[in-house]
Amino acid sequence: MTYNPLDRLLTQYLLGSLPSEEIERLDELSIADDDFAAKLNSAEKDLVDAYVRGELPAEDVHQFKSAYLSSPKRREKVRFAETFLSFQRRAATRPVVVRAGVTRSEKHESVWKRLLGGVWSGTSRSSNARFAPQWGLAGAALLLLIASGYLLNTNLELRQQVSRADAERALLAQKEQQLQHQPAAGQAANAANPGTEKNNPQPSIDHLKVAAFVLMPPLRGSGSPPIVSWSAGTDLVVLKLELESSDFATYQVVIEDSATRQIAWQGASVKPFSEGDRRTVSFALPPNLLKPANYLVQLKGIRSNGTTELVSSYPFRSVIK
Amino acid sequence: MRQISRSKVKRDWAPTEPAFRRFLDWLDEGHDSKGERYLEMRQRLVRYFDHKQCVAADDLADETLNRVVRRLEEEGTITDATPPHYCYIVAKFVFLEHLRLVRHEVTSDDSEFDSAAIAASSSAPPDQTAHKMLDCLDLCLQKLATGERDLILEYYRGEQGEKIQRRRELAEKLELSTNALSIRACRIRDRLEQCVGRCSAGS
Repeated sequence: MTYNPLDRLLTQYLLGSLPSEEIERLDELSIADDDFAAKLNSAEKDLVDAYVRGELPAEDVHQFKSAYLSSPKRREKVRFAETFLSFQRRAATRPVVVRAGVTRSEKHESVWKRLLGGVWSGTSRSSNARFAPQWGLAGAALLLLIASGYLLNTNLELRQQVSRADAERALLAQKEQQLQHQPAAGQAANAANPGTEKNNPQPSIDHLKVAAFVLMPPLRGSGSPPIVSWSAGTDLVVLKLELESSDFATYQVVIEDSATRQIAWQGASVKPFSEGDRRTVSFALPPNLLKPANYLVQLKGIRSNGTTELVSSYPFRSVIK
Repeated sequence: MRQISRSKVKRDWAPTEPAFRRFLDWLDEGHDSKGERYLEMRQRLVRYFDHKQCVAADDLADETLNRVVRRLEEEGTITDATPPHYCYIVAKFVFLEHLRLVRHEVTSDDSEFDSAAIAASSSAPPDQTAHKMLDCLDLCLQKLATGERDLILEYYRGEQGEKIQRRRELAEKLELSTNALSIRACRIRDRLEQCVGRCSAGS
């Protein structure tokens, strides 16, 4: 993976300095073996980086220049690595903070789910409290206890608010979409039954039982799909998709049965939202549209000319508790 | 030489849409990758031909895939090898054919390349190009989600010696295996590289 003695074989292969039989064996693996292909891809990037950083041993530098750089494509890779290094050096004075991601939030989710009686709440926020040492150990411990209690309570409220906001947002988007797609039918129905809306008001969001889940962009080779579980009394399932990039202003969402390819639900124009440093797409659907099965959420970006581009697919398994 | 070899690898046959769809299904081996598997296989083939010093690596990769599609269309299925392995077998034949053509047609003057000149030209891009690429990189990084941007900057940061430990820590922090982290970082970097390439070419 990284340019070190353990990856010597990959480096030698990339530099063309292996015996021909060995090259042929690795040629085959580079196409036919997924794991090897991934490792080679990674090793190549590290090799190029090592070259532009001046970290390659002298004998490799010579081989790199005479063999690796003989291809325009590979020279482009070197140019990119040089640019990337310049960027990193320029930014070296700024601290880089990497969000704890993926499964951590899912773990938090399950903890909060238990705390909130089955209703998931959104983003986790870590809190660091620092206390001056002169208060003494006992005082600090007491303060810490109080602060923790306060933060826990505040965090709980915040999470409940976020959960409600998610569900509200998803419901509003859904309603907007329904109105966009059935204006004539809706008007006709209202005209025929003017009191209908008043007599059958939408249930308040506070009284809805919502099960909400975050789906992360899948990784190649990752194991079983995440579970989306809901109980018989659930009114609404809210799915929040974390986006890998934010190239589109609106998205189309299609949920299809992985086995039969039947479409279970689709949203025509869903807008992304920013949550701190994350971009997400949320939507809600009635749980009766999902049966216990594997599903695939296909997220497509909608271009300005109306055509769509598949952005990512999020698999999940629907489970009824 | 380059024009000759590029034109020689072009073939008349082009896959029909149903044939191409059948090929995608076959390549996916039961898991619908929405074309990702195809792109990945093409990338592997391009790298293979590129490492074999073939100038028209993209054309040869496409020729390989076309032949596989054609064989699938003719035979209905291919059972004697896994899809990636079969692609390799075909690629090997395409490469050998290409080699014969090149040996036959290229003069000795054409076949030589000045590696020193290539190395010199690649190691120091002109200031203007370098600035444009840097601006493009800035732009392309902004298009990434923040988490991805942070990940790639952190993953490829620092000296070789400290990288291993940093990546291990990063993988722990993100609760990923180092392998999964590496794949994720590579995918982001590939996208970034393509974005910078398009941007600096002015498209």
